[in-house]
Amino acid sequence: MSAGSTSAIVAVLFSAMSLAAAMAQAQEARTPPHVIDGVEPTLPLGSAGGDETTVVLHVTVDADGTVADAHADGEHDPALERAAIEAVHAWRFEPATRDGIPVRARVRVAVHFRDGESDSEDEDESESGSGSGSESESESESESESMSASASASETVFSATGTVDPIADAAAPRAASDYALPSDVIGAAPHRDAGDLLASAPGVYVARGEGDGVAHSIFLRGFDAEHGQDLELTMGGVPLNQPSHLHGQGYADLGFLIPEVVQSIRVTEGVYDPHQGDFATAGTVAFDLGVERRGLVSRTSYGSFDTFRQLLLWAPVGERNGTFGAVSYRRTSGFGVHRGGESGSAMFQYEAGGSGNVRARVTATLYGARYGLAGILRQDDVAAGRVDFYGAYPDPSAAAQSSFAIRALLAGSVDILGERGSFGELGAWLGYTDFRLQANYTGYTQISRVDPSWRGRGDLIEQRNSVVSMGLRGRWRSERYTPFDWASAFIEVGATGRLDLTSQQQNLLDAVNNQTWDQRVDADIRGGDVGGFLDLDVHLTEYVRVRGGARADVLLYDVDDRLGNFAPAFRPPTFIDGFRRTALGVAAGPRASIEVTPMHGLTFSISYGEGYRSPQARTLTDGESAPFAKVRSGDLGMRFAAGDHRELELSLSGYLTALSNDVAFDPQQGRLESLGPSTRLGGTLYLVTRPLSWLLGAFSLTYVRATLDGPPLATAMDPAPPYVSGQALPYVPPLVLRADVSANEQIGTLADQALRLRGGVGFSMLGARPLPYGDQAPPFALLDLSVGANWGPIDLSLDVFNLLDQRYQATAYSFASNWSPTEIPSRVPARAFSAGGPFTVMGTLGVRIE
Amino acid sequence: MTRLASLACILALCAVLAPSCVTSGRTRVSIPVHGAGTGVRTFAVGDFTITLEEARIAWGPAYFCTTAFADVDLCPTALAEVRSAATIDALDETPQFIGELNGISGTVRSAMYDYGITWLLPSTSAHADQGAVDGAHSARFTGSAESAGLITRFVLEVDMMPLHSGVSAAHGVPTMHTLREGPDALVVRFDPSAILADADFSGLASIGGDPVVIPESSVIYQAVVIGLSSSAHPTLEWATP
Repeated sequence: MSAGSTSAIVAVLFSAMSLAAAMAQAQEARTPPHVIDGVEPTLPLGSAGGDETTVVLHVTVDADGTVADAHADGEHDPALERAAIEAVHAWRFEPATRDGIPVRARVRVAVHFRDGESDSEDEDESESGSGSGSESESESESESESMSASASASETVFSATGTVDPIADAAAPRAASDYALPSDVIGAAPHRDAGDLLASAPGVYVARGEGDGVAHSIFLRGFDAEHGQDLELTMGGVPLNQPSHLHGQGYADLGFLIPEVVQSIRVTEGVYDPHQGDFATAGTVAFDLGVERRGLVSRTSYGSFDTFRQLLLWAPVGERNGTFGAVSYRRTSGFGVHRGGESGSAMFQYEAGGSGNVRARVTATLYGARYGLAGILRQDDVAAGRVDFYGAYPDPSAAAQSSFAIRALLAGSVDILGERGSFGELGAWLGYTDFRLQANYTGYTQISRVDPSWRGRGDLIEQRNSVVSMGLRGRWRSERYTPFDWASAFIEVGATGRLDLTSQQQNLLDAVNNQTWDQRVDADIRGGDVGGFLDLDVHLTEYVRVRGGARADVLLYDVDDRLGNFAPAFRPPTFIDGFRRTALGVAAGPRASIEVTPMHGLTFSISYGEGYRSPQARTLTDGESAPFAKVRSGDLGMRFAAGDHRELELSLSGYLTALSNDVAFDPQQGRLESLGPSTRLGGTLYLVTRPLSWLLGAFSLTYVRATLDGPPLATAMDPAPPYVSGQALPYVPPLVLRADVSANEQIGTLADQALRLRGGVGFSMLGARPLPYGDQAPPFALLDLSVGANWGPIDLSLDVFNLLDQRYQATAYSFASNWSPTEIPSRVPARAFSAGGPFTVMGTLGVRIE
Repeated sequence: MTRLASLACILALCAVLAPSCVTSGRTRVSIPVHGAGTGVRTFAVGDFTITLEEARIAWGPAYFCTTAFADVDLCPTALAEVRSAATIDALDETPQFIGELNGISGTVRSAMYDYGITWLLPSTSAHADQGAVDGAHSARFTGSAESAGLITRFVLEVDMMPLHSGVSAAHGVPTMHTLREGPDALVVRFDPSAILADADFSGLASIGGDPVVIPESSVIYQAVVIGLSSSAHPTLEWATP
């Protein structure tokens, strides 16, 4: 530990304690495992409370040197236990040997946490590495030495200096509905892609109704977050949502994310953290990138619908988990028709300065995709046999549906750790995205505004949205201030800023030669968001923790709407087309949470916060005080953890959320339109259980009553709008049930290599979804299955999606459309849907070189 | 079997959580549509006494809108519709079933419809629907016009052509009714005497022929076109059968 650090001293004592091993040592030439690479446990500041604590772990080391299992012996503070286990899981060992042959071994690790922020003697002790190390040494009859050094064959006690991670402490969950999904939970069941990982989060339903080249549609505890309009998505602190995107506010395409490099996901459902920014109306999803198992990995997958995927992943041994490089390529013919396409993604990240006071991280990604779209089908057409459930309309404009996406991102950040829990962070990012979509939602209903005699050429909408974005973020957290023995506090201030240069167009195309026959949008938008926040973290005794503060953002827009004041052909023009306008507004609100921990493992929390969603800039008038959708979110809940090795983790939360202006998909325009204010009242039950060291189960049940409070009023043009006050919020599933279950265990050795089997099941169930005009989409349930085997460097897996081959409507709508141009058209709203994927099998061969 | 089991689970959970099934209160409605005439065969038009032997008029497809004026621009989404055309015997006052009106519960305020000839949006010209009169026309009137003891038999076949593709031949026709679940019906009643009321039969004999086949260029033909498109719309009677 560096001098002056306020961090705790962590001493790690590592012993070979197996009775069998002890007996064998006397008779056989046996060596215990040695640590050859590993990260040091980090001390969660808020959990230590100034007391010394020792967490004893039972650690099983495989013949390949990896940690097969680590669980606590006895009852400890769950946060400390988690810190110790997570650290040990990242260690890499030289395996134990028997007569020179690597064998599996079970050892005991004692992790000694000590809060030494105010005790310089502790630091000296840590530097010597002899304090608590010797204590454990007597227990384990071993000697102490530095973890970074090689241990001798017979002396297996290590001591290491733990680094305090105040950044992780500052990011600790604030409420019962603030979920950190570790790698074992998100990896329990098979997932189609990185966006699909979110399905394992409580209350989340994820669909990809517009094909693999368009962002996921995400539904979160009563919000139809669409492609990100109500959900702030970040990756390593970099915002992924795109303000004023033509296809949908906050559009965030996660297609570029390679799932194998997603280390954990934090899903904050609600708004009560001052760090949460634009689009965090339903909550925030933060992807943390990293690779635990180091080495060079190749994964080749092939399966249904001629789907092929190749991944190359390089995680250099000796570097931090956050350092990796990954390249993936995917192609598929897609289920049904017009769903084929290809995509490629490259992600690189380097983290430096692991144990020092300065950490730096650079992330670079490049992604491109082009996929076909089958489009949205009318249910009555499917029922009448005019089109297959997984098919597409036999029409030129349906066949011309496609999506295209590019994303390039370069981001960097520097963290500087100070004394007594203080730290500073500075980050910057630069990104480019290009989105192009050709989609026909309504068939043949449109008439050109340019020349009304141009009509009936098919409603093939072309959307293009190109953005250059750049942003900065910075924050500083103070040292721990301790005015009384029973109270301590941190204060954090931060600022964020982003600038988006957006160019967007929407046209109608004639499918045959992609000739433009009408223009709907042609605009350039310069948008900015400058925000600042204040965050207090107050510990009152060891039982109460109060966190909160406020956040304010200044939103500014300069819109060059080249089709503004456009006069349709039937009206004589009185102006030159084009309308330039500027607008500015401020979004501000408090966020706070109180946690009470009356007994070990049990925490009650109450939270309140106000968040915002920025406006679609093109809808603003000149000088308008840039309105924003404001959300008020209250949350009441509890968390409970029990067991020696987290056998049971339970959280229960109830929430009330009011949004000032909701939006929903308008198929006529192919984009989101205003719906008015809405309210949600619901609750979530989340249970994670690890009854056996090799068995994991995660279950969640979310129920919400989401209602529309003030839909757009009837007008002369629309005397009976599709929505009425008090009706169920369209598209939002009131009931979401999810279960992830996995088993993973070494069953033996084969040719001196560990043989491990695993299996996982993911079950999702959605209740009936209300739709406009009183319609309802039917409920459905899906079952996914994964089985795999690992033997040394070889890994085989088989993933099955939609095991029961359910025909389900991944996304459902109700609107007027006409796909029978030679028949009398319907103009009454009818159910339309995009089909979810059928039974799909993917086999994967993985090879790892360490 | 597994599908049935999973479906049973879903239904059971939905039953437990029934309050989640909050809707807008709107429901799908489907009501029968009847066509009818007035039963009046003989009537006066100016100096002529018209006696009809045949008055068949095609009606549909029809769209019913919530807007005060139904047309393709103001009513891109209709509340209810009759997606077919049928020929109505306008000399028979007894309601004749001609199809179903399907839609969503709510109040309609206006209608737009064709007379058996539809110009589909993607088409370059209008075409007669299956339910058109004799599969080709919007209306057919046969009968005689008598004036000063002179009787002239005539045949009038009218084609009501929409002005543009995607628009209806008659639009903005006012009608007020709240569609809801339960017994309900629509009767489309034509009055041939009103349709022919503005026709000038004085030039009928000069056209020649027996019967006289009234051409499109005739003022009689144009008067009927004007009547069907604006002044002599059928009455839309909403009533429980």
